[in-house]
Amino acid sequence: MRHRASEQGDERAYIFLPDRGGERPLLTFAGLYARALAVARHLAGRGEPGDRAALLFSPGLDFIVAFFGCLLAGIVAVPMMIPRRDSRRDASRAILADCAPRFLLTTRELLQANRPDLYDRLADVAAAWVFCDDIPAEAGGGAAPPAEPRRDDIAFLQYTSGSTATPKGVMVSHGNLLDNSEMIRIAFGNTRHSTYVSWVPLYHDMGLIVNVLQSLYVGALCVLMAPVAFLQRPLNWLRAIHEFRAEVAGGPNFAFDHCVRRYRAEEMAGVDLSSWKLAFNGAEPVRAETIARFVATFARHGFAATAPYPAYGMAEATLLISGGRRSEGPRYRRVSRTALQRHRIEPPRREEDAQTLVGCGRQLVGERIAIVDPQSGRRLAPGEIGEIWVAGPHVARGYWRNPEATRATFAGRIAGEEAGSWLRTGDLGFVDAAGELFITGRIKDLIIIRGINHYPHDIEHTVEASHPALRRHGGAAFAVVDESGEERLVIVQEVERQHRQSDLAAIVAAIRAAVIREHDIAPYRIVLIRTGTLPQTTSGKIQRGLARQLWLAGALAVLA
Amino acid sequence: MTETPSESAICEWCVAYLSRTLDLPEGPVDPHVEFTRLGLDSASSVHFIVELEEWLGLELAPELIFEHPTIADLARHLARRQPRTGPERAG
Repeated sequence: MRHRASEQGDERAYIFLPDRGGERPLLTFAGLYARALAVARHLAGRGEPGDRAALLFSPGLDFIVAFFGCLLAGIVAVPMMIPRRDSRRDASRAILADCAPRFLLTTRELLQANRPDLYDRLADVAAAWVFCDDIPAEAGGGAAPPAEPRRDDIAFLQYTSGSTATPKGVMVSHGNLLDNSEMIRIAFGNTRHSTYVSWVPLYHDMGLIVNVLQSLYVGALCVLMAPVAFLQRPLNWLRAIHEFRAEVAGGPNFAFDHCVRRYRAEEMAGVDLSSWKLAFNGAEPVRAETIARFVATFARHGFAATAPYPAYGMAEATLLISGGRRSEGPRYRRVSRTALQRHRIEPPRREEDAQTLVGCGRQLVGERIAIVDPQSGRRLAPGEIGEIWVAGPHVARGYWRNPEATRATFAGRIAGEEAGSWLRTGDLGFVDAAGELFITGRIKDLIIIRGINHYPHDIEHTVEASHPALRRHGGAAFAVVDESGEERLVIVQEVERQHRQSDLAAIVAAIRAAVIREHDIAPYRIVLIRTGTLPQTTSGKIQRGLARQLWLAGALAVLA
Repeated sequence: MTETPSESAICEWCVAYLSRTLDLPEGPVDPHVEFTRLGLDSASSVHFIVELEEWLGLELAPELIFEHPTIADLARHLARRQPRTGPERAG
């Protein structure tokens, strides 16, 4: 940041496009540095290096200033989603308890004008509110600039893993961030002319690292818009790509389908997407049909068929784990769907059996990817499906103050190989003879909806608490793929024996409302079943995978 | 759309749209039940608002769903809005 401020200080670093148009806030590289320094001096006078600061910001540039202010002061930043207005239990409470911040950074505008309810909600958090819009951006004076951080110092905590009850904060160090940023720069082929346009939330690892931090890393302009603005008017994202001649823009798979569904020729008149060289697609499974539809719809606007860039990553590896080379275009494999369900790669037997897998790129520079049998720890050969393991300088040290979860995830050992810790991703896949990585499934019980991770346990807890007729520890939440290829939530829940004559429709409605309120997911199907029929192991552990198979086969004891 | 439709016309449109898109086994939606109970999460709320905007030719804020949390409430509020001279699009 300091380098950019001195080399290209007057150039535009960040621009925010407000939802309804009008004046666009702008930060130059020099401006960013000056404002971040002011925040850093304010924090340094009131806390110790290593203290945490939770960041609660509406979409906009203030978050970026605050984030860098923390890094400059040696304060560990914890980006957070603003708690939803109407939800009672949400992750923010547990995250704040886990990271125990000294500061809550926000703006007066958010807290006083938009969300005064947050004061009460967070009243019991023993942290000081800091209003970044109150801190004057002085040009100089005040305390000396803080000391340079070391590579191993934690820069920030990413809480995209872990359930509401047990959140897990990935400890991303300055070293991790620099190394993954370099890997991304090489894989994406980014330069200071690689203008970005992004709508992905900044508290999401993809929004922060691939967009905001990468653009700074290479000295490029990053244009931002709010996630809700994208959802409402997705074509505005494309129009911004045209206006700023952006090279790089992307999001989760659903975003591309969303643009296709909302396509209106009159809104796209004159829009030229030929500058868009890299359309990254990650955070949830990438679908071949989605890419095909998007290319077909937007080719007439100059969108190149070689621009789609499927990628794979996770917060535990800072962000990016695999990606291809710019303008190569995606790689596909047609395989047998039935064989895939048995975790085998075979050619399709008939047309109806064919499924097209999309490659997510290759191992990055300085990284190692291994496909490993999760039971035996044995390394597998190309073409064999196993758990994806990752090693490299971008892999984080572990989870904040959670040695058990850290050991379970970050201490993978490959059988017969010398000591070395591997990150166990919990995702299944294979590498082909050319080194292309394909994701085929998940071992971990994780549900991904619109690029956001959800933990079955959290949802099951919400469900069983939503109505007195529901049996405690008698429910399973899992994901299925619907007719349009999207991942959707299915809930299976036992009804207490004495309640099975109750108004089942009312119970279903109560479950639906609770899941929407607490998790903002509209369940695809809610299935009420007879007491004691949910598959469980002898030790009482819910078997979600088996419940899913039984539901798909129509073999559950369904009441409603 | 040069004239804002009546409250009952808006209500009917919303019931038809949500019954179709929410695909609930219980049949057509009840205009007096809250949107969250009907099954509208924030993404589908946004879609709903966008479709409503196109039909009415008005610009609507997504917060309307919070402020008027049933179809009946929303229809009543919208029927009172001043009509515009033509459909407006955001930038």
